[in-house]
Amino acid sequence: MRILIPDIDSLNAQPAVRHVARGFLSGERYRVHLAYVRKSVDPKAGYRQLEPSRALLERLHVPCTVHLEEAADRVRGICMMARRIGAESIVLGTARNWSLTRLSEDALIQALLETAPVPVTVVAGKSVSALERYGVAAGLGATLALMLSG
Amino acid sequence: MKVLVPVDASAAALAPVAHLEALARSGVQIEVLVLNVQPRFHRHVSQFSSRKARDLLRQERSRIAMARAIEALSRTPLPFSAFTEVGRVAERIAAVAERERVDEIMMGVGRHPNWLRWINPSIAQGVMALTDIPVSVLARGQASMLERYAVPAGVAGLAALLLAAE
Repeated sequence: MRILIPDIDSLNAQPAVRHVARGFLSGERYRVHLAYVRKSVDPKAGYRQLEPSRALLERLHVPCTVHLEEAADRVRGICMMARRIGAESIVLGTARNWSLTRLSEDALIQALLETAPVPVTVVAGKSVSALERYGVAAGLGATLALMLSG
Repeated sequence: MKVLVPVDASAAALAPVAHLEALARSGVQIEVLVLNVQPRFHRHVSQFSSRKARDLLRQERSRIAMARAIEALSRTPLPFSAFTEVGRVAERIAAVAERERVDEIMMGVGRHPNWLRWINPSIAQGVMALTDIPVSVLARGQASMLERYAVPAGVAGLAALLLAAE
């Protein structure tokens, strides 16, 4: 069985990798494909981004392969890669809902859920900090208020 | 591995059954919990009907919604149990998943165009927002041409007619 973990957010990719590793440790057997799909790929940045996930999988002896791929449309790029490697599942690690990071990921997640040729599993990261939840919103509100009053 | 499979009466909702069966064949121990959530009635409906009548109607709808999933699971060697909840769909799915300590929530969904998702948001997305438990989504089918083009074109045409009439 092959599982594709596309990197949409390196920080929150860790829960996805841990979820897959847990399955592996409980007896499921598969190869994990870590993918870095961007409009233009800098190999150095790509490998750096995937390194924590790769290291974690290696530590747990989960077989894994790293892919760097250039694609104008990330969703299409991920779907094409899933088809090409014959992945049976795509696992996404994302930020927890109501975070600013998640807001930027939602369109990609929704598009993947709608178009992926295989089941898509979404593993949410830890709850967002109070700073991210309220601080950023308060900051934006204050900036808007200043602009309107000015 | 304990998996919660929320179902409605759609064919897409049955997608996880085949997937779970394939997983079980590859040696994974799986226990399935089938869940159907019936929404509460609006208070304007509730005030003109008895609680017993509403409960009976929900039971009947739930039985119809789960029948195909139960039939499909009965043909597999997977151990399963089925139950019904009442309330907001995404909220109840997330609550049951936490209560039953499942390892994963697996949902079969139909594919729909963006404008329809905007009007009627995806329940899977709602569940993801409410829980830390991994949610697997198996999309099935294709958005129909009517959904994709005819309805938006019809609405735009109607709007254009209204503007032209003014």
